[in-house]
Amino acid sequence: MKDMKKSPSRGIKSCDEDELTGRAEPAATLLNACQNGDREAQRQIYELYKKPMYQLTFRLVGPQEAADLTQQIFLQLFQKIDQFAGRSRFRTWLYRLAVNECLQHLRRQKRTVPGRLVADPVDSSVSEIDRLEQHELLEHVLSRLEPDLRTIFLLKEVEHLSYAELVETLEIPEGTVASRLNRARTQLKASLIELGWEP
Amino acid sequence: MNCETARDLLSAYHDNELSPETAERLSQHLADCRVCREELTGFRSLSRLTVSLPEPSAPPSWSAVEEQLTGQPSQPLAVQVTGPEKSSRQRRGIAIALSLVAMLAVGLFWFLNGEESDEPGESHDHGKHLAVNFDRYLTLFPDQPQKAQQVLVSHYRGKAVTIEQAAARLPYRPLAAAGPPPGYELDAAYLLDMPCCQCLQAIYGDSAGGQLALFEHEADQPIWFGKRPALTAECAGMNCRIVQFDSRLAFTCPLGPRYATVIGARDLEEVIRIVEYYQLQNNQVSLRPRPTLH
Repeated sequence: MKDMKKSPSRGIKSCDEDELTGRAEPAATLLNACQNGDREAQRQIYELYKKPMYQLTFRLVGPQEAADLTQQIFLQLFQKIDQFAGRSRFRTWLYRLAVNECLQHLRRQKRTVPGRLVADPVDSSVSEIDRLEQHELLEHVLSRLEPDLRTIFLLKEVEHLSYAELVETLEIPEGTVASRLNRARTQLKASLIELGWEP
Repeated sequence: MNCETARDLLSAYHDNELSPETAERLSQHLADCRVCREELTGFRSLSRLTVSLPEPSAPPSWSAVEEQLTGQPSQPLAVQVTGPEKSSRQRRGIAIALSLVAMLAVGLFWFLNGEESDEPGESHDHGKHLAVNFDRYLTLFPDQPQKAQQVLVSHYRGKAVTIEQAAARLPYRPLAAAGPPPGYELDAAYLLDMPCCQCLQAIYGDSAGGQLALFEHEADQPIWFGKRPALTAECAGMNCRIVQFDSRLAFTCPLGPRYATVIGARDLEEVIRIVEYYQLQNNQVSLRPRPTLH
């Protein structure tokens, strides 16, 4: 609250509703204040988007790296926010930044996260797989999906981006969005069925 | 519409992203085609399953980000180091040298840890099985780590978990939650139902292909090393029980109210580095001026 009193942006409106999606977008005044380096405006942006950003990094790169990478995403955001010209939705602009950070991080890693030593589903670990909850099975197979497919699946199924938002975020044609999602779902479904999941 | 076209459109149909005309044509195909209909059912079940994914724990606080923005250093750990860095390194050197001398002087290893219970019955069997299983684990660990892992997973109801999931299930904050030792990355984590307790095992790898397995357990478990000759040495102020297997070392030391067992250290210097690292994480650093051997 002390920060609020000091801040020149106290009382600025946080959100407008995006006309197309009906989802909250940060108000222009908040973005302007943020572009001017206003710390309270930065805090408000952080509070608006910390949860989806953390959730995305958690699932994309793994729980161990999620907190650090989330911080890194917001540091990048506040460094680059001058470049946001309003030609796309802020939300998709931020997701693009986050996805790029995550994919760069994964490329830097030599091994796949969260790990290569997760028990083999065949042989003696069949009983282990039997004990896993269904959502744990999904996490297991998700961690093995190639990063591009994992990204689009999470953006659609967890973050609920529309195809138009996926086009903006990933900078790929709408046809590619559909085919990539098809591949992600088909591969995930097949892997889950192999582990005994019944759709 | 044929099946090939229908399959291409299935995700967009499921996501309600098709034009009304195309959606209608696909609906007609689905009404007649059981295979495509089952594929769509699979997509729907997958979406329901994804919704059931638990939300990750809380994201980092604003203050952590603000700290980075303002360039202020993080709160330093409460580490008490009485001498200059050079002195600390010298002490570490002495510790390693003494350890090596001691190991050589006794013909490498002399201290047997066969502390198996002499009492008959189940606990004795548990002990024997534990010793046998860990012996297999240690034997397989250097060259066949996955097979080694299966030994533990199959005998101790091992369950792959994230560190966060483990932290939620254990009655304490595990050491592994502090992150991997420097230079290592987490590969996997398991919760094992050991006879002593529920035990978190974290497996780490480094860029040179080295692997470490960290076990955190509530009671000392000398039996894990079976009858392998063991050395007890003071590493960074802590009494560590160290055994050699293949060309690697395994050790156990008390850390706070629990014990940590680490498998796969390259040499004694690495043992000391790891102990120091986890001491720091445990906020219980007490670098002593003169390491000694027992």
